Amino acid sequence: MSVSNVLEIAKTALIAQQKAVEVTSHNISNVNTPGYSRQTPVTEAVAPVEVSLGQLGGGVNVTEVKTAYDKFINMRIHKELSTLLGLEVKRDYTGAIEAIFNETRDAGLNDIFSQFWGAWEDLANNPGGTSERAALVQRGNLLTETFNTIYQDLEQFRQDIDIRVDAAIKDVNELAGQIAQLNVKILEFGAGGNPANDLTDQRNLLVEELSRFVDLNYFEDESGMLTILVGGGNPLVEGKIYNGLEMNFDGSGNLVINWVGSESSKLDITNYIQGGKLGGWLTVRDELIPGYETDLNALAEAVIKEVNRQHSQGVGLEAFSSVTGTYAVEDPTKALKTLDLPFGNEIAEGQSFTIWVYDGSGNAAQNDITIDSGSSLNNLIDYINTPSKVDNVTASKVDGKLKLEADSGYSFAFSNDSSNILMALGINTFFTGKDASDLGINPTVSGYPLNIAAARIGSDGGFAEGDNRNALDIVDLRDTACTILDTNSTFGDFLSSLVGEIGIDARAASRNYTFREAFIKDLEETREGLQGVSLDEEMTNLIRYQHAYQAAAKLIQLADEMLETLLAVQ
Amino acid sequence: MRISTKMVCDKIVYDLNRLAEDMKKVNETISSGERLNRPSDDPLGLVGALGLKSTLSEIHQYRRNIDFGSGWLATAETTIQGSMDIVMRAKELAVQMSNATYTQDQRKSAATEVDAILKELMRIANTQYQGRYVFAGYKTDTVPYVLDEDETAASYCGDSNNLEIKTGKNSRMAIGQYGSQVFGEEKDTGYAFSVLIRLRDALEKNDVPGIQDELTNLGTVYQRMTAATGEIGARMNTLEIKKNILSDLESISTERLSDLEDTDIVKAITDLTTKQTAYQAALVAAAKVTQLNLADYI
Repeated sequence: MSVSNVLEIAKTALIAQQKAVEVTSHNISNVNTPGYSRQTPVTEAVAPVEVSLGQLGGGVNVTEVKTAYDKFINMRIHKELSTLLGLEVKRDYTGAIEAIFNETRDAGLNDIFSQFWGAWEDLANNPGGTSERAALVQRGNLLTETFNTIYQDLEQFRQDIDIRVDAAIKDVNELAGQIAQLNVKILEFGAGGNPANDLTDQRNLLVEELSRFVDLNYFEDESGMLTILVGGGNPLVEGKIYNGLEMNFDGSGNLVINWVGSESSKLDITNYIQGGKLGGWLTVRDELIPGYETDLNALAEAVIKEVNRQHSQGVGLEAFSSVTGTYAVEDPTKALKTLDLPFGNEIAEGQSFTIWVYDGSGNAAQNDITIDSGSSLNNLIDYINTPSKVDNVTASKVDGKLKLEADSGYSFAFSNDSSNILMALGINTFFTGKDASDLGINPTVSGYPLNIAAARIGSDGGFAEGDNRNALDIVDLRDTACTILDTNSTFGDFLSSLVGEIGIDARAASRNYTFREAFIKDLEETREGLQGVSLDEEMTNLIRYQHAYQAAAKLIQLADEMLETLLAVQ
Repeated sequence: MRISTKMVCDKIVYDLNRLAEDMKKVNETISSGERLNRPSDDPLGLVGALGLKSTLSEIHQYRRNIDFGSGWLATAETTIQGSMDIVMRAKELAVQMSNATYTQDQRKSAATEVDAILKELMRIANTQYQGRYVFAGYKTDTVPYVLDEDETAASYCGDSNNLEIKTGKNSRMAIGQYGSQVFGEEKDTGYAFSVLIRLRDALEKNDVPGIQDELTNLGTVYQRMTAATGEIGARMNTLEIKKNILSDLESISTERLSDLEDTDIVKAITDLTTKQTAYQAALVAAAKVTQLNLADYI
């Protein structure tokens, strides 16, 4: 209750307003800082003192600097960000994948297929022509190369993802380390009684970046340290301790993400990662792309199977003097049907094929060979080499493939194969390979196009240059539905629906992303509203504090004058 | 709700970006002329478009096949008509020479002419189209009719298959007739070449009953050729009809494909103008809003 009390009170006011201005200037300078949450000085009246009159106040104190950080909205945003980034990855990759199918321009598989069938029809109109045969081989190569390229491009995307995941995991581990360090600093700082607002903002920013990589759960303990859980509840950061992630591959070449704990204990959390870029990459690499690859391979397989089956029934312009199959058998003593031949399960045991042997004067010897149940490659070779069975033709093995060779002056050709053995061993076929990755043209045909089987052998063993029946039958394959995966469709329809599916996936991913993005924008706006700095508001506050400061200074001046007056009393 | 300074700018950037992207998409459809620049633009439309493109390429191919077939048939028709002319001449000669008023010498001259007719018929029967023998069945690289050394018989070296072309999905048409269908089976009495040979010999030997026999046989030969020409005529008509149907189908498919694939330029440009206006409005609004600042007034 003295003048000096007034000074004391005025001093508290000066200090408090000064502090408030400091906080305001901090806000103003950080108006554009990402992740910065507005700080507000909290002033409280100093506890009153009991005097005879009652209670007398003691001025003002800035008790704390409060941050506008809202942990609930931030947690929501982080969760949504994980989902969004996962969708972004999916959108980007489906967009890239639909581009490699290129079907909207005239260089897509659909058009190349059309050209291929067209080449067969031109051959059917002139089976004796060499230019038609050359054109067919060329179109065939274009077809096989396109299949190969699309498949390789898809695989390239997967490898691309491997690199990105590797880099991302390094980033994740580093972020975890930084967050742990901040945890320690925040704890130290907070021990002094004041919350470390700016450090918390920094840590929050790191957590936000982390949530872009992987979906996570986190909570703050009483000491203010953050615990971050990832992949089904494994702690990535726990106070000052941080663990890491690592990547690996499993037996089937799929990507595996491991959580590495203390003492190097590892846990496979691949299936628990649902969001973030990692989640997106895992889905694209090991679910989405393999799905498309399966479809592409099934289409290639069906094309090989049906065309080869039909082609092996026919004969080219000349009979063979020697031919080697394209599919190798691992164990020539085991039954052909049970082995791993790509089309081995098409072999119909009990059925037969015919091999005609021609001598130099045009006489034909007909040999029907039945594929008995359990026939192995050796069985077949031995049978053919048995005297009086298939004379003047010798069978042998070359690297597990069947080779047939005619004696000098003799030649041979095939017909009526209901057993599918020729197609299974790759004899007199058009394509080689088993799926989109290794589809190719049989060198027997590409190296010597006269071997393209446009004709068929008659019941007397003869065949003619103008015969186009086999070529016409192959052309018919274009419109014939066959079993591809679990559908019954033509090649063209299957391809269309695959491309359609990719288009739908790409569009859905894009729309999902846009929708989510708008949603997050809304949330971010709300957060900005809660946490953000408004320059106009800060300006107004400055004026407020400035006036209060001026008033407090005036108080001091007044108290000074009062004291002087007192002291001037004699 | 509080509006922070950053929020205003962020929102402007986001919205301008969105508008710019929309404009880019419309622009793309105009500059490429195509609605479908990638499968995701209209997946179901693309599936339809692929089917139509396939159909169109098939139609082009069938037209090529039909053109080839028509050419083959036309050659065959001309050839057979030529044959009919000379067979008719042979018939005239036979009629004449079976008349008792003619002398042996005249008959001998007639024999020479019939021999010439025989060789001419053989030449015609070995006609080629684009380097292939038309009447040899599948053995298009083999001369179908060969006269043996002593010129007493003509052998047929072709086979008995009809060349086919594909004229539609699951539809083929035979365009080739093999030799025996036009000129008769070798062992029959109606075998064109044997008939001419026997006629020539009969004329040579002044054998009038023989000449009269062959007159009847010539009738058979001529009839067979007429039937063959009729057959060809019918096939050419069918091919013509198919060709017209394919033309119509082609127009329809091309139109439908264009509907699916091509940009409606008028609509697209209108769209673009609308979006441009919206973008401009957004820019103006942004400029105005960002200028407002309390600091200017204090």
